[in-house]
Amino acid sequence: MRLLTAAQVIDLATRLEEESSGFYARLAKACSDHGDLFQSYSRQNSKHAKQIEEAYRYAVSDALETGFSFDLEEDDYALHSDLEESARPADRIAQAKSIEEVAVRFFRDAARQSESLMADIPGLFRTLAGKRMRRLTELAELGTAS
Amino acid sequence: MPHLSEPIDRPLELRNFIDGEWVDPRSSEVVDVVNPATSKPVAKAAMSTADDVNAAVEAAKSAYMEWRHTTAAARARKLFTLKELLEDNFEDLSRIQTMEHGKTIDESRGETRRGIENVEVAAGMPSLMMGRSLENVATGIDEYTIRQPVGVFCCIPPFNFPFMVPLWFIPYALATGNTFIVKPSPSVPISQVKLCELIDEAGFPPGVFNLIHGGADVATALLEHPGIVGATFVGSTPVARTVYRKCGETGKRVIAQGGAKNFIVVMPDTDVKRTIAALMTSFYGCTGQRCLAGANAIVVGEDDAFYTEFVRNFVDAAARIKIGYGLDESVQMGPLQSADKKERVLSYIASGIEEGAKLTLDGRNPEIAGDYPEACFLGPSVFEDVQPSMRIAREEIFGPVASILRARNVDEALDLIHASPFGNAASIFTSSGKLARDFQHRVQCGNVGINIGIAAPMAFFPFSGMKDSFFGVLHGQGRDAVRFFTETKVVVQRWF
Repeated sequence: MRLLTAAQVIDLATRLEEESSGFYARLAKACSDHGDLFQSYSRQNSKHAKQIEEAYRYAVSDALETGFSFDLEEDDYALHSDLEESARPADRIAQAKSIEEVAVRFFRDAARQSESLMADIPGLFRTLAGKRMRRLTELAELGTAS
Repeated sequence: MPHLSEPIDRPLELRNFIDGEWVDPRSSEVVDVVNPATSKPVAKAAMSTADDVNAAVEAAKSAYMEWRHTTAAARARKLFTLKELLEDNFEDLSRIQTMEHGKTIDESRGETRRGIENVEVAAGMPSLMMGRSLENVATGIDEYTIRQPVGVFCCIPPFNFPFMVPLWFIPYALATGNTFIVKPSPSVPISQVKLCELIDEAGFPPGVFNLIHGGADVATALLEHPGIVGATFVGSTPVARTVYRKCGETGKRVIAQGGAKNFIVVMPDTDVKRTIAALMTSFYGCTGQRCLAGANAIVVGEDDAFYTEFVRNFVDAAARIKIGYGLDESVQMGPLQSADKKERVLSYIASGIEEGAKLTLDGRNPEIAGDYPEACFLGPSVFEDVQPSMRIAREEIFGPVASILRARNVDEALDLIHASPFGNAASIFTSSGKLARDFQHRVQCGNVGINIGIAAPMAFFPFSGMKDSFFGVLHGQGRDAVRFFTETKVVVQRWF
């Protein structure tokens, strides 16, 4: 589905964070080695979801281009967040990296398209893209170690 | 199409709120409030009588004596409580606006936010209403000013911003120590009833805030009532002029905001992509039903290639706008607020065709997302070859219709703007700071946008307006509102 309005994009952003949170909570249980790290990712994602809702709610203005800034395709940002029981540790890390890559791409695209909105919204999207980028580095290091 | 859940699941029966109680109006006349997207009734509002008006004014007068003696800090604390309640109910308040008005949920949430911002600003009233002082104006003599409340005020808001516009006034009036009566538009009373419930829950004393339902007769009774010291009105210019005159006759202070015909000047050096997004919001946001909406776009210059490219982009973007029920989050434009209002817009489209303008985009048979009756829906329309003498270029249409005009230079564009009797808003889109600064300096209108399609002032600034768009001296919002709702007393003091 094409996403044209701020409400739709905020919904998707929130869902990406919530799905990520669920994924990392499951991953933390499944991986005894890095459980604490993944648990902290899960908590961060929950916090991000709340931050996104608040940024929208406190910055939404009917006077700016909430209905006309975006043109994103929802399917381009689908996450594969189901955790397969039989997956090897390396596959799980790869899955996490793929989730982070989708999130980075989404937040960058959404930030770029929301430049006309109140600064809080693109600002938060850029911050979240940066945080997800740092995770990619951390996950790459875990992958190398394992 | 799936949409967000509706906070109203059966038609509400709306009553007056007088002296801290919900009471039935004394008239037998009842007005149906209809969701313009679904055509389903969402409320019934019984209309009030002159006796109801008298009861509300008496309650407000009685409450005033005690409320004015309450400390400014204590009054402000009630607004802090109200602000929290509004935040707690943010989503329901927004969805109710969509249900009774038709605007999209993004637009309603934006309206809710801008309303709450006024409560936040007015909560600073202990600082805002301070007087000034000067020691030793003569030997041993000091002089200072005190700002004091005035009495009972009333507000007659429009249909297009049922939640925000009353909040341009209510928080300032209450925080400065006045008491208040609001008479919602009969088309969209629910948002203000919900607001009233929250004001009551916030703990304002009985009679400080009152709400009465009614039409023009109730508005007239309020404006003529000797117990009311001031009125605020937002609506059409003919009615604003009448309100202004009536308040003059009865010695009331007044803010009367009228209609508009807003011009958007597009310079050839503008960033077309970002300009188009801003213009879609300006011309078609809230389905064109706002007093800051763009109505006439003036493309400046004799560069035909730029004109053709700009119009092509404008029309393409307008043609792609998704129309439907505003509670569907993917919808970009909702219906007009009523079938009557749609008919009025249709008559302007017919007039444009009749007068020889070219209807480049015809919004009369829109594609509606979802299974909703067509009763109030219209798509975006675009006229080219519009002459300044045509009705579509001169009169306020209040719907999703854009007229595109051309001017050879900025001087000619300003002449077109200044020929209009209205002076609500005007915007320029350009990458030249010098041009923008010159435009801001010369343009005769109250709210100026520079690369902004909707020049809507934030709550801490006044919502301005000039010429036939505004009658009065002080404006709503911000420090103007503080001055409007207070009288200045000057004290000259010497101690022997």
